[in-house]
Amino acid sequence: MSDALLTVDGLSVALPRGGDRPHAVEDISFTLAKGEILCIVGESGSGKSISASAIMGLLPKRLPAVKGSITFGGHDLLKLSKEGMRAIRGKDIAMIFQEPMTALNPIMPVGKQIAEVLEAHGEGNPASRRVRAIELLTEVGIPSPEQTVDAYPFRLSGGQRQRVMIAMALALKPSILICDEPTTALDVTTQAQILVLIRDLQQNQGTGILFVTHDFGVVAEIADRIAVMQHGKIVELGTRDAVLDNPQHPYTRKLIDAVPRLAMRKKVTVNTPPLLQIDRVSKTYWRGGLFAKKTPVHAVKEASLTLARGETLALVGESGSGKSTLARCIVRLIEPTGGTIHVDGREITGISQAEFKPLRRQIQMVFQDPFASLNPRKRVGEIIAEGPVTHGMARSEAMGKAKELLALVGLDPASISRFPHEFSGGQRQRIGLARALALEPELLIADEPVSALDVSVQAQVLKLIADMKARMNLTMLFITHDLRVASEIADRIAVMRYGEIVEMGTPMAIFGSPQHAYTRALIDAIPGVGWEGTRR
Amino acid sequence: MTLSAFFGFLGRRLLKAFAVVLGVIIVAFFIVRMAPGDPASVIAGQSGAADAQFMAQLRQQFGLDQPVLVQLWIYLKGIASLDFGFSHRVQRSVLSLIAERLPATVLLTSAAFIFSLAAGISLGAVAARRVGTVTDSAVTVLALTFYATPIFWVGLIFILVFSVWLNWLPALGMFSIGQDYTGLTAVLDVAKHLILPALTLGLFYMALYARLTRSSMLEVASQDFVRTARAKGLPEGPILRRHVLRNAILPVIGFAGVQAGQIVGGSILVETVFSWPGVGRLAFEALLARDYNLLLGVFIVTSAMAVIINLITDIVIALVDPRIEVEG
Amino acid sequence: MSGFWKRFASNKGAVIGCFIFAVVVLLAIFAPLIAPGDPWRMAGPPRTDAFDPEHWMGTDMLGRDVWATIVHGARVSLIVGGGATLAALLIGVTLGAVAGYCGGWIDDVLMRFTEFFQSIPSFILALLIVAIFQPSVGSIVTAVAIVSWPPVARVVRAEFLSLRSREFVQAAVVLGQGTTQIIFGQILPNALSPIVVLSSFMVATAILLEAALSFLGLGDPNVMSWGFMIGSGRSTIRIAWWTSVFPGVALFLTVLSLNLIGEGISDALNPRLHDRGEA
Repeated sequence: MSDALLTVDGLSVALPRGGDRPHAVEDISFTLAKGEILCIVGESGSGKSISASAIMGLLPKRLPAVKGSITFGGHDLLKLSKEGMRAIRGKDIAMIFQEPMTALNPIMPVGKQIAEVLEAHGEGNPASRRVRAIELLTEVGIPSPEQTVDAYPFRLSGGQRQRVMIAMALALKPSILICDEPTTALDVTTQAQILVLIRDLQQNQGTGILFVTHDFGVVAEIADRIAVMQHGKIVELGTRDAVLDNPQHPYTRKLIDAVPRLAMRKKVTVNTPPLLQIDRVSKTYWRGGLFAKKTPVHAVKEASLTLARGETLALVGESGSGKSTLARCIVRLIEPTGGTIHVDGREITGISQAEFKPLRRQIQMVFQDPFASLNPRKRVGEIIAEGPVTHGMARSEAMGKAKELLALVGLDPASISRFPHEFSGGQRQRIGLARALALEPELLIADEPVSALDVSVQAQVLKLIADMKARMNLTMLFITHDLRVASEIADRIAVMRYGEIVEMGTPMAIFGSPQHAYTRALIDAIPGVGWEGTRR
Repeated sequence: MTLSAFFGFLGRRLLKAFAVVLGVIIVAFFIVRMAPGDPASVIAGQSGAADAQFMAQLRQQFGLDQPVLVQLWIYLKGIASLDFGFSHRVQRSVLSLIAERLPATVLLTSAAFIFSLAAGISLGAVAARRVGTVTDSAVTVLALTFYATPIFWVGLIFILVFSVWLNWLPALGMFSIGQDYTGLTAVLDVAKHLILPALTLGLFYMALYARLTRSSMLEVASQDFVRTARAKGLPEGPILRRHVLRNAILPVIGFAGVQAGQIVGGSILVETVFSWPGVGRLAFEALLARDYNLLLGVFIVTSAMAVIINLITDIVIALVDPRIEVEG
Repeated sequence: MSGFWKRFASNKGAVIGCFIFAVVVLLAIFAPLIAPGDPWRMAGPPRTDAFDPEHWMGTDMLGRDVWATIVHGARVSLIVGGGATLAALLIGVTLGAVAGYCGGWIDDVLMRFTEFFQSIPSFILALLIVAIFQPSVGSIVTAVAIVSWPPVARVVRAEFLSLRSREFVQAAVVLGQGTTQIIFGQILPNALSPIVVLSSFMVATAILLEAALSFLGLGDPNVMSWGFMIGSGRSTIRIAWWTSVFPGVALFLTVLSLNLIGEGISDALNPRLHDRGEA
């Protein structure tokens, strides 16, 4: 292509000895044109972020680029001197990163950090750089830029910090912007705003954008062209419509199929007595210590909901909405400050832990983080058998049960004597599920059980949870931030914001005629929501 | 930080400092109370020098015929009015003895504190910048060595090498005896006497801070915002100075502030070795004479000194680190 | 755990440390065989030069054999080092665990208490305790323990605080396990590594503290100590350097060996931290 801004040709990046493969990135080639958005999409470990770092010349020493070329402005970036590469970074090619919370220096005002880009490339004087920083902050939609320019990062929200990062990247009007999962750490409504900002940029300034992501929704939202990476190789490269609507490579097909669909299912009417009744439950924290002022934080405000036996309710909300706090109140990991909770007609708020212990068998929980939810010092068998043993089952019998459960969740029963670190993230979530099921609960609370998993693994675990639910006739409270996942698994959806349940209904009702403005905003913010209509 | 936020922080911090000093006095009181035998005879010491009048005075100072809490109250009131009691041995008030010796100790400990921080941070920064090289290993060995050497022994070796064998620097005292220096010569004379004790006291902590700085720098260097700085096209020099070093030394200074008490405590050993006429040396003399009233006074005053150093480092950090004001 | 031992054994410093420390332990155990007789007695003419055929480390002003004092002095160093560390661990782990597990105001109060002990001149406090309670191995161990527990409490508290909110601990609560079961079965085993690393540094610090106390004349008058020898040779350093220098070297090597071991354990436990600098 003649208008290619950037040409990557046959690039390979080596992995250190002892890795699971010799190359982190192997023989990849692509071009990026002016004003286009190329999405590199792949699961963790596919080499997508390393490709981005290679272009910036930011590869760690242990991951050297060993083959190929990266041509920009007539130069091979891989052959450029350190100083030559430095002169390009930030000026011609800029980059924004995944974690806005840690990507800014905590003890330097944000304006100064923006001005540094200008300073590094010899632009202007301190006064003019400050003026430019305020201009840039205005451009990226930061409220009251005159004040924010002197603010420290901890005063800003994640979305605002990412805007500051973008302002910094834009400072010298680079011809290429590399975005490495820039919205992954953000809430969905913030993500939508940032995506619009990036889109505008590309349209107004003609910037070529290389957008690295794992999320097909985001890809559908923003991409002009798509490169799919697996095990360090590009397995498919084409226009957005070609790749999304007519994927050629089986891996691409598998990934796209794994993305949960926004199903508009109607609720299967469940006419059973309620198993869980939550009535105006509140949780208020007090911030501040011995020598500091105390301020109340309302994590949950008078939330009420009812779960019928056999029903699955998805509790949806963004971070800080109180959804996890509410779930933890039900298992009494957190003591609510107000309201009542009844399980099977019995009030569980206000009873002692000893009285509650026999009831715990009925209510079990699956956690979010596959790496933190299993005790690293215990063997898998012990982890699963712990529950039954605690409730009086003989050890040998409990171990037998652990074996059965492992088979049930699709793992080798012989792995009872292995340690958690020997398993992958998806396998650990299966172990966590087996641990919860070992007590044969009636109510299962699943706290974001798939949000830390790659999309293909996520689909498998979701299917397993649905299978188990049907098989053991469970009632489930499923907490998630992802409306797609919620729509796939739930009979009903409850939307939470600022500690309050703002709307509750069947997926059909929620997606078809959302009543609350926030619900509408959430649905509009689902990345690639327009893609749903054309999906196969 | 806004001015009002700063004063709020200062107020909370002062309150905390006051609480620590109060705690020290209470601890001192209970150590004496828990000692075997009559507290008055414990205080008076076993030297047999105590006469009946002095014992009576002690009983009154501690209110020994009263309930324990009343005794504590009496003791606290005494300290609050700067009454640390009386040293029977030298027939002077504890306060005047300590006040006379305090400047020498303040000079020694602050010199050692500043030296240990400056040298430790520099060494650690150099090692972190050249990580994996000979320089890094040299700093590591140096730090390991001084971290493992008892400071009183270092003092003796320094005397042996620099005073006895090389005759470069004076070994004992704070001034040259018999020379009535004035003005600049007097200052230089004290400075010359100060070098060995301050080095002795500072080297151990220098080693500690060098190790801390090195690991703190390496940790900060691996953080995301350093990658951001690199992505901006910033040269390595400013990245290191503005982004890595500034963030890395905050915890080191914070730790040094908390450790200030240890440097002050170590001054007993150093002042004893070098006959430095400070509070530490006074404590050693009190120890030899079993003059526990004086020892208690030294404990309380040096604690207050440590608290003040800690307070100063906290203020310095609060001025640099914008996050402090919210954390309180 | 074989990975741990492999990494530990490949660390030169740690191996040297283990070797030196083993020698010190052997000296302490077999002291009566290696240097028979009372180390306090006059074993030869006073102020015999070092490298004398009879007394290879010389004798001091009172004719005490310096080598014999080093061999016997190893005992009190190890007893105080070990004893004070155990006692400090007991205090520190208990307070740290309670603070970290309970959180809230209990944590606040216990941590202020810990900070208090950390910020006062602990050496003077130790001095005061030993002086007032009369110098003995017991009072020295007590004093050293009282001033060395705060770092343990802080480390244990930080570990407990972070582990307590870890999901596997929450899972144990949800399963119905009791508090003791959770503390001893789930949290403590995961908090052990930093405690082990810290202990080895604490033994070193405790040995230094004992030596410093003895140096100032607050050692147990019934047992020979390196600090005492350094102190007693202090006034004659100009004419008989060996009486202070050799015990100091013994002290230095022992403390160094413990620091090397501690660092070796730490690096072997956290292999990533060690090569972070290479990136």
